[in-house]
Amino acid sequence: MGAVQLLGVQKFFGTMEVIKGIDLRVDDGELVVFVGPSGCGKSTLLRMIAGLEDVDGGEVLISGVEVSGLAPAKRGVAMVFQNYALYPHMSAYDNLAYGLRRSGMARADVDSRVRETAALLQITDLLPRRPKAMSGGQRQRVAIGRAIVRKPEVFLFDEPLSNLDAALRVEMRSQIARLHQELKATMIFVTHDQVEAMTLADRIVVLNSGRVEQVGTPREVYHNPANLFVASFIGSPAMNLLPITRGEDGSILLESGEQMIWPGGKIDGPPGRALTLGLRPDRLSLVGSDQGQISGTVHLAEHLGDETILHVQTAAGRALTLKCDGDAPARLGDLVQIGLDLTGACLFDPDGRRVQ
Amino acid sequence: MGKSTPSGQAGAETLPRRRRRAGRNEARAGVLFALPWMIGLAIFTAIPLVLTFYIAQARFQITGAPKWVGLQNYSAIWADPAVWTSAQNTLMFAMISVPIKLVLALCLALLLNRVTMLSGFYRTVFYLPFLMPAVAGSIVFILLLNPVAGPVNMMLQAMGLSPPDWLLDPKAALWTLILLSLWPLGVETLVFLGGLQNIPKDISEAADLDSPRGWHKLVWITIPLITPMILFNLVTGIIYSFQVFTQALVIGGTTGKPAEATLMYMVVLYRAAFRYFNMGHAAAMATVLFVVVLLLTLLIFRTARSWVYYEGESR
Repeated sequence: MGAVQLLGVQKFFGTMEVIKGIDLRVDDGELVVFVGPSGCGKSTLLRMIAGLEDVDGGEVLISGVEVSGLAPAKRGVAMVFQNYALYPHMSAYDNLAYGLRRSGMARADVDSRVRETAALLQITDLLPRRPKAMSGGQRQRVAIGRAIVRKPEVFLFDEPLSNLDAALRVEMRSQIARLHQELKATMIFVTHDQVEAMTLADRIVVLNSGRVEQVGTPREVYHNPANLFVASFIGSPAMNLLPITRGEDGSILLESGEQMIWPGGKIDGPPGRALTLGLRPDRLSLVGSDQGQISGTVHLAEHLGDETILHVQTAAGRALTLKCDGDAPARLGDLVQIGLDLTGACLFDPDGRRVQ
Repeated sequence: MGKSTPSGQAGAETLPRRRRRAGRNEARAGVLFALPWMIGLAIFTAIPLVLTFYIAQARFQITGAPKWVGLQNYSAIWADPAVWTSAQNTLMFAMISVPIKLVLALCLALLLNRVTMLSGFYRTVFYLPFLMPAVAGSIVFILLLNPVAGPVNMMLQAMGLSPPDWLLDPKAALWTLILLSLWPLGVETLVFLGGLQNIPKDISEAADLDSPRGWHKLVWITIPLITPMILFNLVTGIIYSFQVFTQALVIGGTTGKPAEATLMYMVVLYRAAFRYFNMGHAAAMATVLFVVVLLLTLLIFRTARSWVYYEGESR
């Protein structure tokens, strides 16, 4: 298996720079997830590693070898596409065998490799079928099989689960995680789904507008976002962002006029410094009438069984999201008091950088 | 009893009945829209076809009433050496020109498929020859291939080659006709281009990841996915080549100059009909041609099941 290294990689579409000098290292056997909003360049970056897009600047190294000028098939990568991209005129068996046959492998070896892979993915009974005669999940398994069968150095997944229904996604996600464990392969996975990113990744690469915003483990990215973009993008529901100012004594001054003590002691900087307080929805709670720091009106209550997501409009017009118990009593239109727990809170400066 | 008043009918009508009525209205509209085409088909295709079958078994010289002669016209064409010569030439023409035309059109479509700049311009340019009247195109070729002043022979001579007499050498004349038939490739190319552009990009990319060799992708992925277009071009190509007429008449006249080398089946048919006014003979030839082309087409369609892949097929 191989490590992937990107050195100042750039990509232009016309005059527009869509990948802006990215440096990144994906270690051997690591599963890295590229995550970001639509149009952030995550798929383009993956396709550049695969060789399906030209690299306009910088270098792409796989196992230490510069591959920017190599054809996709010579890079030692295999890719699983969003729309499966199975050859529709071939059976699943032929789809798996195609690359091996074209590489000149002996017929018996091809057969044993295909059957071994099919057994690993539990698709042996699908081998005689054409893609049209399979469900979405079955096609995706065959597509993964086609990637595995060639034993590439690096696996690339381009939003492979986005066409599947929710239940199938969970199943396929665990199957990919299991494959990663068994094959100990280097995998790069592109998704816009944070749950996929958080559950699968060894490390997450958060991309925005062609730049890397943060690289870290799922826990790091979730608990210690490097900036406002990562904080607001990672986590579902998203982090609550409240404008605050630094009080005279280094405390937090909320818009409502309430004062709170920062858990670490004092906030850095001069009094009156404008900052943004980031709080995860589970750090906000419904409290009694005199204990809350903020009051607001419930304008949406999402009852999810074990938990309820409340969307509250504050008096200052801010939208807040709370994660409460499933039996939380609040209903639409209720006036509620919200208590803030600053444990794990983040502070961002006006440029969006995390300061504390 | 049980009959509702017209005013209450719409409300009281059951859903299946309303659906049936809507279906009938839709069918009526469909027939009305198709009617002009159906009338045209009857007048210009079906009736002449039936008449041809009838006249093929009659003596008919345009004037006067046809006289029933049974299979006499068929035995006459069986005994006519010109028919056999022309059939042989036509078969040879079809066997050579159709595959070459398919390969050239596919190559051109593959090239056009890669063109990103001025693609519309190139497509128009390659389609234009098809729009040019066949007579005009043939005359241009006669001028180009003129053994004395034609630019083709002048160029070949300049390159130190001894060019053939394209139009008067019996060995070269059929090839000249084939060359002439290859010129308007526009329709075949556009059909192939449509097929190529219909191949999903990610399938093509998956093939790029599976093998670095372009010809692997062409043979194993691209061509199988455009087999419906190959079938279409093959069938229409065979039908066209068996009916090659204008170019053959311009180059070889009604005698298939030189030495009957360009004497095509349709030229002999035309000669029988409009030079000798032997409509029965011509109709019998047309019937034989119809049956031969029909059988060939059916044969191709039958074999197509094993080599044509249609999108949506799951077998």
